[in-house]
Amino acid sequence: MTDVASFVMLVVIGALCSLDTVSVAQAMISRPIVSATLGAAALGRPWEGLVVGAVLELFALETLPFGASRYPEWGSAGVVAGATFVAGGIDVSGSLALAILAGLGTAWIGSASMVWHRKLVAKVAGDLRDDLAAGSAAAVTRLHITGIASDLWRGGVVTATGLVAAVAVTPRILEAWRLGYGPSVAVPVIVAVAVGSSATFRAAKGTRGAGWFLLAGAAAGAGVLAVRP
Amino acid sequence: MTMTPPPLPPRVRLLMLARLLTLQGSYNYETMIGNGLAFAMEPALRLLPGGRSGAAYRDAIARQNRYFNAHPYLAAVAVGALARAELSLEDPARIERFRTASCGPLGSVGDRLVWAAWLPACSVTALTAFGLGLSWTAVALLFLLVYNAGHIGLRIWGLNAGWTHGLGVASALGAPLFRDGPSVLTRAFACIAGAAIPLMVARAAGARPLGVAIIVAVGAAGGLALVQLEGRVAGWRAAIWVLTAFITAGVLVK
Repeated sequence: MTDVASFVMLVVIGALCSLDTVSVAQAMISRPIVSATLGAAALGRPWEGLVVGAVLELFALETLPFGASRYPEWGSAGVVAGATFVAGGIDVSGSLALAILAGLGTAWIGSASMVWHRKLVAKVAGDLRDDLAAGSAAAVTRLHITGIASDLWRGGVVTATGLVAAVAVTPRILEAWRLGYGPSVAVPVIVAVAVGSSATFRAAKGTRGAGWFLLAGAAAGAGVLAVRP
Repeated sequence: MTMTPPPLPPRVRLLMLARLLTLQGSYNYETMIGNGLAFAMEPALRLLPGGRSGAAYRDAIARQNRYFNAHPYLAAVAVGALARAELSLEDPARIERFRTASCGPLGSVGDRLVWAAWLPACSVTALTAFGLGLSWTAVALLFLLVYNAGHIGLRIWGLNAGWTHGLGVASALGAPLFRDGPSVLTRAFACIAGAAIPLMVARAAGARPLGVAIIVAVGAAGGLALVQLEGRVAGWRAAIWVLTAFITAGVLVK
């Protein structure tokens, strides 16, 4: 992750995944299970990205992009988390916790940046108010392209910020890490399960009979685990 | 005076569909997706009398770029219906009433069907695939293909339904998919999530069944505690502080 070419590639992937969050397509390449995998795949280690992306996906279950509400931006966050996990090493104690924290921190920055971005687009719309009110298609297109370009830049800057922070602290923290591998992996996964299961409980609570479906699914999952070699 | 709209050429329909994919490109807190709505509809508006230099075209663009908000996928319904209304030279007051009235239903139906049900169901399906040992390409492709089959299908249906029914499109939103779909999908989500969580924990943490049981039990207890807080604490934000404390402990503990 420390060479310039990899860094630039990750920033580009992060920017594109960010763009998918709201502005273009919303095809969900911005979901962490995809974006983290893409980030790690750019460094030649997609498996690490899938692992950290799957854990982050549990957090993402809680945060759905309802309307104008403020929600984390998982596109850049997933790429940063995937790259951080590759840099730390899948078998290294503390690496998963650090990668998850890098992802959540980037998602937080991304969330704030989306608010700034929307205010910026509103300002541009204000500047074009007369042309828009006069029915200028050129003004409509200009506002639209400005919004998309600004969002692309926003995603790139957020990804770059997350990566720089992760590059700076990952080796130092992992060098000083003292806990064993087991708890180092278990704790971030427990936190993710807590957040993901809370989203599941809420959904089940609001739909008649869904609680029974949840129990049936849990029994099936436990059964597969029990019989799997 | 309302007239029969000209046929919508397939090329124009495709162009509108492509532009619908950028509907939220100029999303902002003032006009929401209003500008995106006008941008998506613009290829159809070129068919108005006088073409791009006509007064009808400019008036329609001016009307359509004002405030509008709806679920981004179901906004396709509004784009189709409003394009038909404009090309039918419908009374502007009626068009404005439709724009105002359709925001709520197109927002709430889409939120319940897509954000609260379809997306989580696809997400936990991908987690199940991960837990069952599928490769990274299979997991990512499964998620993207299944999710986007619904996503793109909904946009295409929306544009066609809107164009077919015009301002009377509200009846199409009473279809069983929108009425019963959210609860059916939420049950499916709950069932798949129940299986997905232990399976993904086993694979992500590399834990044996007993370890998985402990992690899932402790995590589920935390989840119940979060539910009791009734949204006063966002779990993902709280997780930042918990993990920061854990990492600090991991470095400082002897």
